Amino acid sequence: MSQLVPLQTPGQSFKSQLLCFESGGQRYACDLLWVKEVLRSPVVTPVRLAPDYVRGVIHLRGHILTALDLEVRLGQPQGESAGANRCIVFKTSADLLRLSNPPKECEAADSDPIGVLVDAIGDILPPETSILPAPPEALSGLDSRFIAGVISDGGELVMVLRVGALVSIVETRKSRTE
Amino acid sequence: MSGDQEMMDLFVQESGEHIQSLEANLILLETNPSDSDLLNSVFRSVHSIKGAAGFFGFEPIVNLAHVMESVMSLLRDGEIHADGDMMTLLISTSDKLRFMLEDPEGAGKILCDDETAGLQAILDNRSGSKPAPAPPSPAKPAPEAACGYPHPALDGFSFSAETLVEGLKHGRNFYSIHLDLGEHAKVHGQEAEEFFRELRSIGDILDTVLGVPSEASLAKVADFSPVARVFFQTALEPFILGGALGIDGSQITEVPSAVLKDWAKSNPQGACRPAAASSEIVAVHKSPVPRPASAPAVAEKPGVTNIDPKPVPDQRRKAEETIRINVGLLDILMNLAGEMVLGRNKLLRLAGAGTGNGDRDELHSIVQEISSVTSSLQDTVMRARLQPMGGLFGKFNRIVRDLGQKLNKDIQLEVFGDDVELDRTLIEGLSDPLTHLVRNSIDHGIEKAGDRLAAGKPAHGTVRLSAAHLAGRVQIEVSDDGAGIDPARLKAKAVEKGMLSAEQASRLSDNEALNLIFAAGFSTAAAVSDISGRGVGMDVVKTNIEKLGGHVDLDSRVGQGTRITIRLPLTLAIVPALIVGCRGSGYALPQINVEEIVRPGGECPIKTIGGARVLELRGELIPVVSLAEILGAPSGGRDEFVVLLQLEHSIFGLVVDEIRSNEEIVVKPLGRHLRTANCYSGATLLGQGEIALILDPPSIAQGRIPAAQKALGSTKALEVSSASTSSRVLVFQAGGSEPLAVRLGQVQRVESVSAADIERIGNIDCLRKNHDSTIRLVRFSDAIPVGAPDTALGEFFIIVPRPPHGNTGFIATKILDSVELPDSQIEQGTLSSPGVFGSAVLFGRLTLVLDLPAILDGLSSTAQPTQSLVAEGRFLLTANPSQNLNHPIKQLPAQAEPTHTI
Repeated sequence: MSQLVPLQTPGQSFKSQLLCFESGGQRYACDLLWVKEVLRSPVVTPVRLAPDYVRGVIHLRGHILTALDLEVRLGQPQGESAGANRCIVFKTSADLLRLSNPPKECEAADSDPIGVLVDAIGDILPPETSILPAPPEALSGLDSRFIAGVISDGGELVMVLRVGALVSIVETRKSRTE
Repeated sequence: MSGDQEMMDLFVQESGEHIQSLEANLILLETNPSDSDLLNSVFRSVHSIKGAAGFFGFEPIVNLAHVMESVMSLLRDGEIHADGDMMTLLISTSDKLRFMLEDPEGAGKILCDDETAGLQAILDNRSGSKPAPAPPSPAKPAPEAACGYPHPALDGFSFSAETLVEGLKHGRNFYSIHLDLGEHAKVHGQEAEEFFRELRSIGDILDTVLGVPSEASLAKVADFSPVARVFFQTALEPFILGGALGIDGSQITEVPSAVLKDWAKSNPQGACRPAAASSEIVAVHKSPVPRPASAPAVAEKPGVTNIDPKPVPDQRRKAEETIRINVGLLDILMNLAGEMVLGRNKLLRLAGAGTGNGDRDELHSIVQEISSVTSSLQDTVMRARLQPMGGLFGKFNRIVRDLGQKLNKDIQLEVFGDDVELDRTLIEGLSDPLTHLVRNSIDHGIEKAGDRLAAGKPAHGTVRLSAAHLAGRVQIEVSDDGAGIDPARLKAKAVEKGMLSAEQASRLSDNEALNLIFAAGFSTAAAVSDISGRGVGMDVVKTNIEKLGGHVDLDSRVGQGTRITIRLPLTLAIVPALIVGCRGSGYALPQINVEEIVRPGGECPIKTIGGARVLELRGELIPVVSLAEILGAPSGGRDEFVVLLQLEHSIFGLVVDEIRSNEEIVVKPLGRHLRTANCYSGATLLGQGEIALILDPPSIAQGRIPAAQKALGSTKALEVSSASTSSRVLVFQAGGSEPLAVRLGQVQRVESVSAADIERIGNIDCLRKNHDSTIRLVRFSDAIPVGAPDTALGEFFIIVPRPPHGNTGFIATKILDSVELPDSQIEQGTLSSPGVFGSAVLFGRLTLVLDLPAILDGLSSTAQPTQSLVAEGRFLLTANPSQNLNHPIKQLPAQAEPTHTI
């Protein structure tokens, strides 16, 4: 903590490790500190009347995990759900409390487990990866509240997600306040 | 600063515990004013409070505790004796201490002048007028000391029959040891203190009397040698005892156990005390049987200090080692244990499948081991959340005492099963309902002493609280031996309040009338007292208990008393539920809302009235909604069943595709993103780990069931029990060819079972179930004169009565039909007998109409003495309305009963 870290503004660098993953043909990354585990081939039970970005619930060792559809959450049309054979499980508020160095926006965490369904898990990027500002929403079609920025990995663009915003209960689109 | 706050919290918490035990012990002391253990414990509590308060500098608490402590120390040392007034004063002091401790900072604001002055007066009185320390007080313990000594060797000792019984139970021998301590010290070089320690190491000292030999004239007081007489119990034989203590056999007198046993039997409450208690030491005569008149307080003499005259351990207060644990942590542990169970299940499946190689046996045994450890782990963690009922029951001593005094009734509280354990949240939720019930018993149940004597009952009334485990649930009873509830009075009251018409009332059975007491706004008290009688009582009790997933029953006999039975699940986290299927997904419905399952069509069709769908059932129109529609699921399901859901003031039907099973489910919360969908109250995991969402019936009804229909439902709800001009009966055969009928209102469910599931235990047939309860099978032919079923039955039906008889199943060989049978058609004269309402002609045949509870009453009073422990044999094991029903309807033949109660 004592080392000099530049202010976390887009266009600088991301201080902790990033987990890369792929969903709907697009590459994403998120703060590894937020990730609790990755489930292989989860069994998703759909929940009727749930918000459209909730794909269903997953039985996670005695807990009920809410599984989000990443594309819909980001404001895109529902992708092919044929993939989605991995589920990234984010830490709950209780898990984050135990960290001495919690990730950003950790206060947004819920007490019940929550995760996103993705197609495949990629590499882990080292800390201090330089990060660029996200493209305007009008161009990317992605809800910019959920995007922390973009990094370039091997010439490919990777969207860095704000997990805190993803898991919190903000309404999709419209009711933007930022 | 936070450290200070922490200390402070700890202080408040600990003092609270002390005050609680203080209060409880004071109440016990009131009936047993000379119990030295109680006195000691009260003294210790006050002392601890004083010490802790002094540490924080709460002067007012310290001051009050100090006077109380001083008085307690006099009581403990036997220098004064407590009478009724003093006890009242001490109890009110403990109240003041409690108030102060609730807000230690503001303790000064609580006025306790009366208490302080009163206690100070006791102290002053004692020190001021020493020659007459307690002339009036010995009168108090007199009633119990009124019996003579069982054996001359025991003259002058004080002991109670209770302690003797304890020793006799363990086959101890009793001795009176007579010993000149001075001489003993001279001969054996053993100081008195050491001698007593040795005594205690081989047995229990029941009492010690010290005296001064007559030779020790006043002039030689300085070097007198005290004579000790010790009443002593040990497992040792007489000849060994002398050797063990190194004393002459002539100094030991054995008191024959038989004599003591007879004495204790004839005086179960008895106690012996020296005739004249005084704190002065009086010289004793040196005679073969000395008659010392000294009080036990002589133990204070130099040389024989610290002799505890009665070191009989009190097992109730055995300090168990405990630590405080955050409930949240326990919840996590519970969850983890649950996860392990699921993991274990997968492992078991895998091991069962096996790959066929040599490791399989080894794997199997390892999995078995893990399996059993996992089960007991889950069980243990579950138990960690449980607390004994004793804590809750304990507070009723006070309530009973206070109310009894206020109402001038002599009431005894009996508590059974205070070690029965229950989930913490349940115990908290039980507190109010139980208080209410106990108050009711005291206020309305128990009569005044005069009336009781006139009715040939003992002058003192008895309120009994009991708790027991029954069939995986906890049964709590509040009963009294008071006047009971008169059904006629209840009916009159209901008519007076306009709840029923006079005609309706006259048709209620006694049992139905008793249940009126649970209706809202109903109070039977002739006058509203400040204790109870405002008519917000029993319905609140019922609602509260049902909120906890429990069930209340009332049973009352005029002139004999009232008994209220509460059945609760062991823990709140587990809820009985009906699992239904809709478009391939499973959903859980809380069993508490499920009233009935109906297969629509035929006699109970679904009709459409102006866009709303209703189910016509037994002349009622019940609004119906489709689960698939509510959930926005695609149409085209089977829509085969209607589950009737009872809400607080309405009833509605929910159309589902299939009825899957009944399960005890563990409620898991849903994540916040799913809380917007308010028709779910949570989710649960079924056997193989699949998720079922728990439906919330009130939210489903919200906005979908028109208010008018709700109102219709609410009037119906009351009539369900009261409209008995005609009732629907189930017609069946039970072996013989004669048709039998039973009112559907008495039936919980009908199941189809196969003979292979029957196990015979002793002379009782039981139906082994896959859940944790079994059903006892009863043949109608055992109770009433009808044909017996063929023993070689393959498949048959069981008729399960409504709770509390739900663990019994009556064997029926064939279900014929269900029909509406007007009461007027039941002829009660000719064939009426215990267990038979009467007879009626149905389908052209004479049919006996049976009364299931009455049959069970008749059976259980003769055949089941072992089950009468708690419930006097009237109730068999409790029923859990949710269990035992796997495929309730599919197994019924199509022509049989289309409606089917759960």
